[in-house]
Amino acid sequence: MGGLLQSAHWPFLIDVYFFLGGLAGGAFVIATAALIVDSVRYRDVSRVGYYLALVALVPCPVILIVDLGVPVRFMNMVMTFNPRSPMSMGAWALLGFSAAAFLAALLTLLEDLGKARNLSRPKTVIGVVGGFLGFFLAAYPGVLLGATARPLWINAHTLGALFLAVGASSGAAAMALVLAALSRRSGDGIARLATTTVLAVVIQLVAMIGFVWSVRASGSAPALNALALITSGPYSMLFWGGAIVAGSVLPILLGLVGLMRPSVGLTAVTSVLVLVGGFLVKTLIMAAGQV
Amino acid sequence: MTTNLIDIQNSDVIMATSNMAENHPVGFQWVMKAKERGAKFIHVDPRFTRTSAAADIHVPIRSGTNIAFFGGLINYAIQNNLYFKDYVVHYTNAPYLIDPAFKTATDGNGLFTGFDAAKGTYDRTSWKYQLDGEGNPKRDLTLKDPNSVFQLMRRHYSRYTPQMVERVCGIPQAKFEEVAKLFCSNSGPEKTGTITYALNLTQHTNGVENIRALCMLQLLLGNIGRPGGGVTALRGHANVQGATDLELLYHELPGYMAQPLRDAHPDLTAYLEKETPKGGFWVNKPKFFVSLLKAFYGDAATKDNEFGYQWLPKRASADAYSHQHIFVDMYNGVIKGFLALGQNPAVGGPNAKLARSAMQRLDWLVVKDIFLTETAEVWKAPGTDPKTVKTEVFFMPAAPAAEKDGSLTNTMRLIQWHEKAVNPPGDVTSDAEFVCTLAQRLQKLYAGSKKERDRGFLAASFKYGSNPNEPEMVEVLKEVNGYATEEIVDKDGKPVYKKGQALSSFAHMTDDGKTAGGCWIYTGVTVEDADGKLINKANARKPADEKDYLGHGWGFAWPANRRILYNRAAADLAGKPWSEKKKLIWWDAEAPGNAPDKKGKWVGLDVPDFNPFLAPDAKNGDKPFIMRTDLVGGFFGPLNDGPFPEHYEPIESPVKNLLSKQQNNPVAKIWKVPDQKNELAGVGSTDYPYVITTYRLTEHHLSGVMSRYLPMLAELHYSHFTEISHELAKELGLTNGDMVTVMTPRGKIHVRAMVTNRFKPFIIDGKTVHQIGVPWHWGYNGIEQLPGSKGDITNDLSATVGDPNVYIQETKAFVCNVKKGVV
Amino acid sequence: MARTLAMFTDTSLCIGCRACQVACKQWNELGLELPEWTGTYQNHTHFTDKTFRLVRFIEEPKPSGDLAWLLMSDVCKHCADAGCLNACPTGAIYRTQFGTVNINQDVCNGCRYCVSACPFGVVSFNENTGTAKKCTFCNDRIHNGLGPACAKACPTESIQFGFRDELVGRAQKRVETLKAMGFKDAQLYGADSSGFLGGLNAFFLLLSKPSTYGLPENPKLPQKNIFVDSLLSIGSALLVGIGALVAFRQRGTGGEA
Ligand SMILES: Nc1nc2c(c(=O)[nH]1)N[C@H]1C(S)=C(S)[C@@H](COP(=O)(O)OP(=O)(O)OC[C@H]3O[C@@H](n4cnc5c(=O)[nH]c(N)nc54)[C@H](O)[C@@H]3O)O[C@H]1N2
Ligand SMILES: Nc1nc2c(c(=O)[nH]1)N[C@H]1C(S)=C(S)[C@@H](COP(=O)(O)OP(=O)(O)OC[C@H]3O[C@@H](n4cnc5c(=O)[nH]c(N)nc54)[C@H](O)[C@@H]3O)O[C@H]1N2
Ligand code: SF4
Ligand code: SF4
Ligand code: SF4
Ligand code: SF4
Ligand code: SF4
Ligand SMILES: [Mo]
Repeated sequence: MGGLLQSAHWPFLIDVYFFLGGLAGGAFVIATAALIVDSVRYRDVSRVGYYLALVALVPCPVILIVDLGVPVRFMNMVMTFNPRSPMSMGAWALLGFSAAAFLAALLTLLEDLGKARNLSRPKTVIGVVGGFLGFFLAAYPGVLLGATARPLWINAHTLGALFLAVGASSGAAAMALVLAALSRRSGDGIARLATTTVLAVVIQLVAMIGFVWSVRASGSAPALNALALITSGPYSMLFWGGAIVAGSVLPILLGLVGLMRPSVGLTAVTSVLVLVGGFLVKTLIMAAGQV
Repeated sequence: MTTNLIDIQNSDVIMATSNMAENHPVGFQWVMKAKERGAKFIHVDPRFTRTSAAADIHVPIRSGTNIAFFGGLINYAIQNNLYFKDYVVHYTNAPYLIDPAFKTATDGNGLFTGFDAAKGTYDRTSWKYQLDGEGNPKRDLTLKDPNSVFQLMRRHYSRYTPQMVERVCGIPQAKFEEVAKLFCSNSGPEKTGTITYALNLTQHTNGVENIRALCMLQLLLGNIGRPGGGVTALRGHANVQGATDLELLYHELPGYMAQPLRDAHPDLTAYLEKETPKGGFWVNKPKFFVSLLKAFYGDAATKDNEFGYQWLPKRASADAYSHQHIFVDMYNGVIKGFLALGQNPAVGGPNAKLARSAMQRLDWLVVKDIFLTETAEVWKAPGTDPKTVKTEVFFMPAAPAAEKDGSLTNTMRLIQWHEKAVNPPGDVTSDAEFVCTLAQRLQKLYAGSKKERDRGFLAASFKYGSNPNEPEMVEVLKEVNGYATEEIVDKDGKPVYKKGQALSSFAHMTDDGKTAGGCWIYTGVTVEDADGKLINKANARKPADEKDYLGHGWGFAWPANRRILYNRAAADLAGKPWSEKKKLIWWDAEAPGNAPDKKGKWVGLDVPDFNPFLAPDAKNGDKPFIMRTDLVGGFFGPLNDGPFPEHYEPIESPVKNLLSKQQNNPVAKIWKVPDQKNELAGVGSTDYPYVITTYRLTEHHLSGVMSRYLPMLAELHYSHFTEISHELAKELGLTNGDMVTVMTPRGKIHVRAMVTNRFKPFIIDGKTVHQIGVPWHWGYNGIEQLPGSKGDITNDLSATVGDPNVYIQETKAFVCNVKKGVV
Repeated sequence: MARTLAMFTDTSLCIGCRACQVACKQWNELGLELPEWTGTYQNHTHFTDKTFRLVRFIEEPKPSGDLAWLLMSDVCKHCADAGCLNACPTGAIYRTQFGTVNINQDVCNGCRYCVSACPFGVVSFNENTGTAKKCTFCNDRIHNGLGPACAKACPTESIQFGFRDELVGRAQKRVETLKAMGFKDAQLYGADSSGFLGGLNAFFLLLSKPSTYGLPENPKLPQKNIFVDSLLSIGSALLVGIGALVAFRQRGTGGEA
């Protein structure tokens, strides 16, 4: 689709990385939000969030390194600081966020093991700093794609916003799912996570519309061809059925139902849909952009 | 070629009839230079090629109809009075009167006077000038006499109208007229044009006449011997010019002297008598010939034994030992052993299937090459059971150019030296080493022989320099250049040459055995200063500059470092340049002459191709074509197939000859080969309805050995292919990339179809005639990892037929069929 | 910085001989590559890790109905604003003292970001070395007083090498000449240093509009997007962040804590 242009042909693993990184960032930010609002009331929410962030993060550097042509030179990424390169910034963000996620999870663990009583204060500090980095980690892949010459990406301007929203929605959904699995009761935390999820999905949907709109507006033929892969081509079933209907519209509807009648089962189903939808959004955009 | 590639930059119009950009890309820079200056560029080729891409006009021509095209141009120039009258009247034989008995093909329905149908040859007695009382040709400077060459030529080409060109060649009349006007109007004192040719004209059963037609057009327009003019012959292999000069040919000896014929030339006197013309520079032939014999046989050659003339091998007939003939003889068991030094006839020769079968019948075959070629592995060619091949094959690895000293002579007659860059690895030897050591071993073997015929071979020396096994190439060049065999003194007894000293000019050669010279035209390429220090001018390295645009300080161009032949024609009768813009050499009446009391000399931008002190108003001072007996350019020139080129269809053609009843060249050579090894398709055969031509690609070299084996080059084309028009593809149901089978009565090949806009069908006399094109670079060896580097052999399709003058093959135009898929 | 060097590829002089393509392979010791059937003489379709100079063959009918075969020897543009250089997270891609853009093979870690970030599809990934490859502007040669191998091999001076300012002047004259000869679409591509990408240090003379050659009419520096995209991301972040805070602060929804 790119005419004479070339593509990095990043493998599926990179989609996984973008998804997990976004999820980790989203979960971390939401955990921090919960912590800030009420560290006692949402203790479980922030616990799950910080643990989840770390768990989701662990494979990330591994995937990144494995994908490199010369893995031993991974460190070269953090020997330079290039603000014009989203990838450079992303590498730094990943490094910084890993530290934050590790510390946050460590402090949480110390609390859980009873080694320390209340570490909310340092956690809040780490959470706020790490939250910025987490959001950065969620958003930067979108900006990174936008800063390539691939017609689908260079003509879209909301990829960072979209990826961030997917990170948040999937982070929230994953937290809700874990909590639900652990407690089987519709707790306050789960409900608020469900609300957060729906909010994020709404933003995600708006960003998605923004994506389609900006590509359309560019009028660039190769970009439109690539877009058509998603909207009417081979990926359209997955896109419309999976990413949009099942992954966005349905969760919003279910979320509205949940607002009236909270239910663990419903939240769990919604969360799964959101996770699948979010993953599809990223994967399809990656795939269509690289043809 | 008569000119020099650098000089193309001075052309006002250039007509390439060969595929120059693809096959002579380095020389093509001068075409681009001319274009940058605003010159117009025409390309005549059945296909649209990379040369066409650079052209202002591409003229698609059906293969094999070149004489119809050039004849059309000649006719156009005459009818429209576009020829250069002063030049034509004074510098050519146009005003000469021909024997009234002679009749052109216009009056003979395609045949000239004297055709002997039984013998299949011409009796040429009427093809001659009328002579006056003193034996000089009669002339009519008004060009009006009906027996004048000019009027005969006009009459001969009167049939070649633009309409006829369209019907025969398939060139739309409007396009032809556009080209004719453009080319012919760039003539006269202020303008010149050049024409390039190569195999597009030569590889036909009227190959030599094709070139004559081109030359005639150039003479008519006054384009020979002048800056930006000329006949630009583009030669083949890097050293094919050198190979012809030194005559690695069947019919000539070094320096363009005939190889003696068994019957016609029984002794030296008879030979010199028959072969030395009465006028022109060739009157010196005995000096060159005797010097050559001295170079061959050294001290053993004396006046008493005809300088060893009898030791020279003699030809049985005119065509014997020509390339195609050799393989027919091999197939028939006449030839039993074959040394193939740097050639790959299993792929490269016409009718390659025949060539391979022929080599498989030999007792022994020696291949010396820089790669293991298909010829070296002919015993395992596809379709051959190696067990049935009795031929004993020896492969000798050869050192390529970079691993040896030596010279190459390029298409500009420019001899250039190259120095060894690295030693060849292992047992690899240079060709010179191989030939010299082999010869010396054979001499040992024959040492005791008392036979007269062996004496010459035993007398010849194959030692050059101190080490007999490692010839010093500069010494070889010196022998070629020529040297004094004994001390030579002038009239006053002053020594001119010491014994063994290199000659500085072929003018110093003698026919008394005092000089030896391996190839007279090369004399001057090495000179010796007084101390005996040899200066190798082939190694001169001063590039051209503004003062000397022809670059006389770079290499050495034979003869005598002249860059443009016949350059006396660049000045008018009085010796003044025809125009300031087109000046080259001129008569300077004030310059010091050849004696203290004499004045006047030819001077200018090139070495005069003329007696430098012969004043324009002296006898023959106005006749530039010094190599010709009559000293003028010849429109009338008796070849074996006629004094004027006449269009005949190729031996295999889909159409009847529209110009006369005579379908083919009546004297073309068609070899009879047993076992249906040389079947031909009849005129308009429905089994073989398409015209086919074969050609080269920039990325590949000849039989492909030097390119198919090199990944960087081999990968540039996906695989063997044929170029086919969209129109024919549609008829055959082909899409780009399909495999197809191309077949002729001789064989078939499987290749991929490249369907392209660059080939268009021709409309011949109102009917569509399709032509396809097939490059011929593929064979059964190549790079394992690169399947496309191997492919079927295009020459399995071509036939063993030839031109009647030099027996060149007809691989540019024959007929074929194409079928979809591998059948 | 030394005076900027450039290559000027004048397609009006190109005869498609591919000497440049092969000379580049030879000088840079780029190995065997399997060709593909392209239906014409061109091989390969794209720049690859072993093809830094690529001669394109474009068949296009002229308005007169005659055929034109446009031949163009394409190469890395050594952009003044280089997408690849900006993208590189390791600093492997750098600008030399001559203004050319080069990849340090000892630093590149093979992230391949530059591959997608070149507006001309130049950079390619080499599976064996695991690094990104492209035309080096014959870095080794220009640092030793020699011109690029491709320019040296070109028989028609279609590829000219020299100081950028001088070459631009020559190129402009050539366009004028061609226009006067009737090539009305003759134009320079990338010669203008106030034009796109800050000008190309390998610029071209084209005989038709850039898109005929597959070149972008107005290539954009990909990194131009970063600012807007980041702002929108921040907007999205604020919405999500505030949303989350609101969601957790809200009273009364849900069951007990
Ligand atoms: N790259 C490269 N260069 C080479 C060689 C090589 O193998 N590769 N070989 C060298 C050698 S040995 C030689 S002899 C020369 C040959 O140089 P050329 O003669 O230029 O070579 P070809 O490609 O055989 O044929 C030239 C053209 O003749 C056209 N043609 C066919 N029939 C006719 C006709 O009747 N009239 C006209 N006007 N054109 C016709 C064909 O379409 C083809 O494009 O090239 C030399 N240079
Ligand atoms: N159908 C068709 N057939 C043709 C033609 C055509 O246009 N169409 N063209 C014809 C023409 S013009 C020609 S010239 C012939 C060419 O036909 P050939 O001369 O048979 O073909 P080449 O491939 O040039 O073979 C030359 C060989 O010399 C080897 N070689 C290179 N350097 C050296 C060296 O220094 N020493 C030695 N010993 N070997 C060396 C090379 O590896 C190669 O194998 O083909 C003719 N055949
Ligand atoms: S291959 Fe050699 S002889 Fe032929 S054009 Fe190139 S440089 Fe000249
Ligand atoms: S053309 Fe591409 S690879 Fe070359 S400098 Fe510009 S952005 Fe980099
Ligand atoms: S692949 Fe190498 S050169 Fe390209 S961006 Fe990554 S590190 Fe830089
Ligand atoms: S400058 Fe050097 S590396 Fe670049 S294309 Fe030319 S030869 Fe290849
Ligand atoms: S070497 Fe020159 S003429 Fe040949 S393809 Fe390259 S740019 Fe064109
Ligand atoms: Mo040849």
